Amino acid sequence: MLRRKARRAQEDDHGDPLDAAQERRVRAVLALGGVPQTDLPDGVQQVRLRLLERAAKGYEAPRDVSAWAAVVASNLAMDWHRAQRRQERIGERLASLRQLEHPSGEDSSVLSLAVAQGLDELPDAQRQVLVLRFYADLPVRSIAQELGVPEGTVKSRLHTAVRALRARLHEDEVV
Amino acid sequence: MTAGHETHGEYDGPDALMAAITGEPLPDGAGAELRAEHRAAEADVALLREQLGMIGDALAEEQALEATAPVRRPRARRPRRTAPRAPRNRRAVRRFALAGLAVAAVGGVFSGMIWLVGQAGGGADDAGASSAEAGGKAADSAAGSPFSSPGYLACTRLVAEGDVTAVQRVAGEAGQERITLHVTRSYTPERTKPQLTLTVDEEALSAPLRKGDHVLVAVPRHASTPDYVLTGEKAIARERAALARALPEASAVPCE
Repeated sequence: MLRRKARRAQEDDHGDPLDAAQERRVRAVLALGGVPQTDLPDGVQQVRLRLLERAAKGYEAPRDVSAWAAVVASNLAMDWHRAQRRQERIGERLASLRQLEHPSGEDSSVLSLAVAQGLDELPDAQRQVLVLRFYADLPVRSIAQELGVPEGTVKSRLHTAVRALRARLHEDEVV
Repeated sequence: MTAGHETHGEYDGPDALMAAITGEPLPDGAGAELRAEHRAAEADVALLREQLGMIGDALAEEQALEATAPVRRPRARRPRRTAPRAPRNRRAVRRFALAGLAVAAVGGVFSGMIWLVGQAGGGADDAGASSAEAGGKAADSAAGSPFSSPGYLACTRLVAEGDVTAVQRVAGEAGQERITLHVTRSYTPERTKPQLTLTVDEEALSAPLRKGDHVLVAVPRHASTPDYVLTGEKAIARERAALARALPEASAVPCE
């Protein structure tokens, strides 16, 4: 039974509970949450560990491993902030990246930086739901259930966060 | 539930932005103004979603040129020892330039983004100029090197001299070494971190690097590894002279 459940949680042939796409998604959620680059591998390992622990305890594998992993990663980012009392300024990190390919043209980097800097300014709780909603593409209801908060709270945080980012974008005349 | 039914926190009543966020429909009786707001909000939310995807994917990647961060696996590349680097994509350059402007506009400080300042002056050319004058023949002998080409220099994000303080073989990557460089002189950009970690393809080296070696390295703007690693005081001295002449011109040359 345990082996069967563990196997269900393991999507690839190498026994890794996260496939490459899921790992990449976890890394992105952690990074968007402000976890520094150097700590991303640890964060990914934490997510793997929790997934394996679930299987070891006999729990059913998450129905949607990607969504589950994104929520766990976002919570890890929140915990990381609380423990470390600092976060990586992703606007600066993004600026240091050499390439950000985008078919729409050269203005995309300006836009990305504006968004990244806007993210830096958001309270952690708002950033968390924003990332889960628009990066991980989770419905509001799922976010509320996973985080254990009312839907209205999720909506309120999203509304405030998106409004702030819109204001920043338009103030900067980026769009 | 429609967006108009949600009342919580800072919004109340029909809310175009909330509808765009949740994907819920507007109330049946929504007027033209609200629908216009909704369209604008949907466009912004779509843009935000797209940008988060791009940023997340970009941040999820590892960095190569970082003092402490893990180093990105580079593409295998043959060294270019004589020919100037081919012009690169103009659009990419403009994107990068705009990115720099954006950072400057918000007053951000970023040390990782390497920027070609390139005007004569600063640390790049003082000693190099005297070297060029004193060692005219030697400088001439370097005329065919990449460092004598403004076009090549315009397309680099790092040109620096330094002392190798550590050499490590990259685990699982045959033919690659990770070196730690104590920078003694940065040409491009004018200032950089005092310690850099670089992954070097062994095929770019004429001889294995060792701790204590003095090197001159060049990293193209869109590469993760140096395409030029030069060791030896005499050889580097010749390149200094070439750099002193070419760097001022490089600032006026677009990287195309």
